[in-house]
Amino acid sequence: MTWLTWRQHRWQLLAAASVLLVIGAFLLVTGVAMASTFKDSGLAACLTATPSGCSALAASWSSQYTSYQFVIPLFLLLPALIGVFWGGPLISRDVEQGTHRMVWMQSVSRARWLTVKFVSMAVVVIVGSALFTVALEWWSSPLVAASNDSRFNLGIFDLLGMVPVAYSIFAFALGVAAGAVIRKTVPAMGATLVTFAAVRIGVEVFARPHYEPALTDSYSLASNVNVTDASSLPGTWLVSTETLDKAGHVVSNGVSLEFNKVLGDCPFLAGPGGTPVNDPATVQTCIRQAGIHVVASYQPASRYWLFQSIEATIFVVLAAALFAVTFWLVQRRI
Amino acid sequence: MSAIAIDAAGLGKRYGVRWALRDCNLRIPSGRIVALIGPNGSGKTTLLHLAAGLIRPTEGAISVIGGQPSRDGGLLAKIGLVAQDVPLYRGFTVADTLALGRHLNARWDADLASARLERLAIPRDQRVGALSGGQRAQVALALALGKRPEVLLLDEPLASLDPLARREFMRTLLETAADTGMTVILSSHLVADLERTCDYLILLSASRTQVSGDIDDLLKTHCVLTGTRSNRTHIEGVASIIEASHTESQTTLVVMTERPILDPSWAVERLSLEELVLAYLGHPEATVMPPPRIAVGPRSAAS
Repeated sequence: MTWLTWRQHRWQLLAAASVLLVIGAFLLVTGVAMASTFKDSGLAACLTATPSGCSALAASWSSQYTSYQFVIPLFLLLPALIGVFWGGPLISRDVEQGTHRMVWMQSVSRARWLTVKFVSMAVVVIVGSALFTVALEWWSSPLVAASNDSRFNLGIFDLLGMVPVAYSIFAFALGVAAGAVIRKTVPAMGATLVTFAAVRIGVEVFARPHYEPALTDSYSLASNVNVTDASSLPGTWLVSTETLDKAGHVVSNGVSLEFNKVLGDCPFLAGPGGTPVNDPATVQTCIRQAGIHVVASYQPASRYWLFQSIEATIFVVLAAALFAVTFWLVQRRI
Repeated sequence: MSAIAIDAAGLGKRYGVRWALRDCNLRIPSGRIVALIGPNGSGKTTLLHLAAGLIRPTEGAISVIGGQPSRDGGLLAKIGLVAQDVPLYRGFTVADTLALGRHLNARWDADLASARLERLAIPRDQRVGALSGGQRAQVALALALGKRPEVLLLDEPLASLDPLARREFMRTLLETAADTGMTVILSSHLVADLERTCDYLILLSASRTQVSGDIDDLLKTHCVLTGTRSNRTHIEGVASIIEASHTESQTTLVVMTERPILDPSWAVERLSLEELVLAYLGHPEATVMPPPRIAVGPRSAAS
């Protein structure tokens, strides 16, 4: 069976290997250059010595690499491509061309046929995406350091750590299952892409902020109070902020005041004709009198690996469930 | 080797609301070359896929050389199938296709598979997609024969072949069948394809088995009676009338006999297999089924 898997998929494997080599060469060449300017510009030393005092240097260094902002999102597509081009056709091509009736009539059971094919391709997917993630981790480390972005940020959390491997194996299993359900190659590939995007976005938007209850922190909006709260520490994921008055009424989403909502607390803010009084001192008086404060809910930087492992587990479990469904379909329904 | 190659009782397969095959009862002795005849859509492919274990019956049961093909994994090594349209990996070379057989079958007779292709001068390094229809059918046959099946199922294997390729295909098939003693089932909607090579007939029509029996016996017990016009339904020696046609002065009957027809008012003629099949296909209510089961094995005793 491994012979057949290799013989059938060798062009796919070689194509994927060459894509990885091209991307790898790109990462190597640009990564070495980036690492050397990162060091030569003095930014590396500055960030080690005074992490908060390098923003000007960081901005000027980063500005030469703004074009990578268009490259990085492409890496988010790699798992989807695995699902579409490797997973989608794995079963559907055989069924579409009728060759499953030839290969299933050899002395190898369907269970073994599916398991060997799936597992050998899955191992390649896991090893390939792990290698790629390690390379990307090395390549992007100066950019991440210079940007002062949290590792929770979209486009960082999704590309580094362990989740890319989990996304890839999920996409692959999804493609295989779509092929077993739909039994036509091109529709299965399309369904894989759409479903993968929907699940990824759904988990990212609706599940990820709630893996652990967010911590909250509150501080006054008054300008003379120094903001050194936990939610603004480096690496923190600020999930949401709200501005409230003493009684707990929301006066704004985000860190600001909404004139209409604070009028109840501070009627003196309304000038003649109902227009807002645009005087900073009056606004500060209102903030102090009404006890207007900001409540930030956030995930601390220390939870990064916890969140990584929870998200990775979700996708690996989904992949295993999809494999189980495929296994059943191949045995009973095709 | 079991004496009965394929035994089906009340076998049915439903897809959604449509029955592709229903009420199928068969008992095919081992070592026969079976013609599975029926119009398009009559359930031939479904029956072959049930026998191969590719699909599971909705009702009833089928056993092939003593096991249930969709449950008993060990049977896979004993059943060969050349499915409709001869599915093969088109990107594989002939040699790759034979290597597939070798890798995927514990029992693999490389000589049986490749000697035949060499004799037919089919180039081993040619891609399957570039072969002619006849050559492709030969490669598919070689792949199916290589595992030395005890039962070989062929679904319309001749459909895309020209007359010369048909003859060559049937010749190689029959030689191997004679050498190995395997049971072969060939489906076709054309009787002429199979008439000279098969010794057992299964006729499917409208998803049911209509006729099942030894071809010689069927031809011996069926004949055409011609006589002056009459509407008589009882004729000495006739078991049933399958088809009756009348002209102004003459009546022609296709009948199944139980004894020789001795009535001098009828002229008795033998039927060809094709005429017999056509008579039955025109009259779906007429059936010839295998004789009642004799309790010989535990399975028969239980049923």
